[in-house]
Amino acid sequence: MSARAVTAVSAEPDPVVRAYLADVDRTLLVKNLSLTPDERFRQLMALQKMAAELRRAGREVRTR
Amino acid sequence: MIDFPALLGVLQEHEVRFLIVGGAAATAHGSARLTQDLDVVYDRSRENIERLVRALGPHEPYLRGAPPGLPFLFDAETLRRGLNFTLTSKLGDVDLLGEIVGGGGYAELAPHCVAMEIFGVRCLVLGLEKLIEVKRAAGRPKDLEALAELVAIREERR
Repeated sequence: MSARAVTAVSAEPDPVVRAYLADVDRTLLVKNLSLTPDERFRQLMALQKMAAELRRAGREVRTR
Repeated sequence: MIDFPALLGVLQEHEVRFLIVGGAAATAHGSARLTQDLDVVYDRSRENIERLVRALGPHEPYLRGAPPGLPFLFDAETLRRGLNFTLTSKLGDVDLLGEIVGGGGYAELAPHCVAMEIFGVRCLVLGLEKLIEVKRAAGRPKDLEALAELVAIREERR
């Protein structure tokens, strides 16, 4: 089998994934599914901006 | 922050053949998780590699996490000699992947993609089923939450 061979994997969730599934916040998903792809990416960029600002604030506190 | 409109725009402008995978593909499908980079699988043909270099070259791509000053030339020869590159650039962090575990390369993945218009750019995005499959194939413990979310998205869509 070559290194490029594609591994066949079942798409059905196993018990471990099922366990994690219980903690997924579906309210966020339902809201996201109502958005367009552009709106989903704009939301992601806003999140990235906020994460960068939080990291900056954390660095500032640590260097005081 | 990734400037998605600019990044996708330059790839389109230079007619780069690529498809979106990873966290950004999950976002396209409705994921609420934060991802910090754009993962793309690119066609490894000679002409496409040259297009990719012309598209991203002006935006100062550099090896992410590498010490400043390390010699790195983003040219077609470098891309041909390597396969997967984790880069930072003026437009944001981008991973250029020749292949992904459980999915293969561009030719193998393209039939499993959906076409989406994102910021006016027609993009191929790895389909939800295949995204779940490759996440499972990667088998990384850190992906379990992301994998569960993708399964939940599939259930919410039904």
